[in-house]
Amino acid sequence: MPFDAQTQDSEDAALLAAFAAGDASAARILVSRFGPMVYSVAFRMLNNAAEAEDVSQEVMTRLWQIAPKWDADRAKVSTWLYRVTNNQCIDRLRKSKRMSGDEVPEVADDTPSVDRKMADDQRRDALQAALDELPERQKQVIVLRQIEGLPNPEIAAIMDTSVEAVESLSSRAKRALAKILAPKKSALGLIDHDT
Amino acid sequence: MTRKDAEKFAEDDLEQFFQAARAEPPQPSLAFMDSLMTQAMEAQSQVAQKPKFQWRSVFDGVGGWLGGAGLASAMALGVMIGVSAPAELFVVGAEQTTELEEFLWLDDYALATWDEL
Repeated sequence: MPFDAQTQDSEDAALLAAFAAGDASAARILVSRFGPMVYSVAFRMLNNAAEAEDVSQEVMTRLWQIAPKWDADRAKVSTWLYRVTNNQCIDRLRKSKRMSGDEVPEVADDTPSVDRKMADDQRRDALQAALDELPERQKQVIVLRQIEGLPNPEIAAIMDTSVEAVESLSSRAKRALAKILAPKKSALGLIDHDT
Repeated sequence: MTRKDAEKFAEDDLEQFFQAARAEPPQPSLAFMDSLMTQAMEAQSQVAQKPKFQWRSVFDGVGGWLGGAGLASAMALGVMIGVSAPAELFVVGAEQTTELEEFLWLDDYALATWDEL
C-alpha cells in the first residue's frame, strides 16, 4: 500500500476516534470527506437523487454508531463505507425492482455536433442510463473500478468475492456496456472505427 | 446489434464515457450536506453521553491499589474458609454435664453461695 494511502487510512481511523470522543471538528471533516463520496456512489447505483440522499443518511448514521467501536486493523473506513453503501443500494434495487430498464432515459440521436462540455454531459447521461441496464453486480464493478478507480482487491473485499470474480464481472460488464452504448456513439461524437 | 458491432466499440470509446463520469461526479446539494452535518452532531452528542465501561473505573471505585489489595485478601480468606473442612461441634449432652460443671465450679456449694448472694 502506498505511504499516502496508509497515512490517509490511519488519519481516517483517528478521526473516527476523535468523533467518538466528542471532537466536533472531526465530525465536520468526516462529513465533508465521506458524505460526497457515499452520495456519489449511491447516485450512480440508484440514478435517483432522493434515494441517494436516503442511502447516504443511513450509511453515515451507521458510521457514527460504529465509531466508538472502530477497529482500524480490521478495515479501512472508505472500504467499509463503499461496502455498506453498495449493500444498501442493492437492497433498494431489489425492493423497487427497477432493474427492468423502464426508466432509462434515451439519449437524443439527432445531435449533429456538440461542444466538449455537452458531449461529456451526454456521455455521462448515456453511461448512467446504460448502467441501469446492467445486472447489479456488474454495475457495482463498473462504478467501483472504472469510475471510483478502486483496485480490484479492494473491490473484492467490498463485494465479498474473489479478485478473479471481480475481473470476470468487469469484463462482462464492459462487453455489456459496449453493446448498449455502441448504437449511440455517432450521436455522442465518438469516432466510428468502421469508417 | 450484432456481437461484431459490440466488439468494434473499442475500449477507448468506453473509456471516454468513464472519463466523462469521473470528471463530474454527482454532487450532493449544500442543504443535504448541512443535514448530514446536523445528523452527525446529534449522533456525536449521543455517543459522547454513553459512558464506556472500563475496568479502570471499577478498580478506582474499590479504592485503587490499596483497596484492591484489601479486597483481594478478603476474597482469598473467604475462599479459604469456604474450602477448608468444618470443625466438629462440641455438643453438650448428659455425659458432658459433670465435666462442664467441674469446669465451671458449679458444685452445690458454689450454687448455694450463689443463691445467698
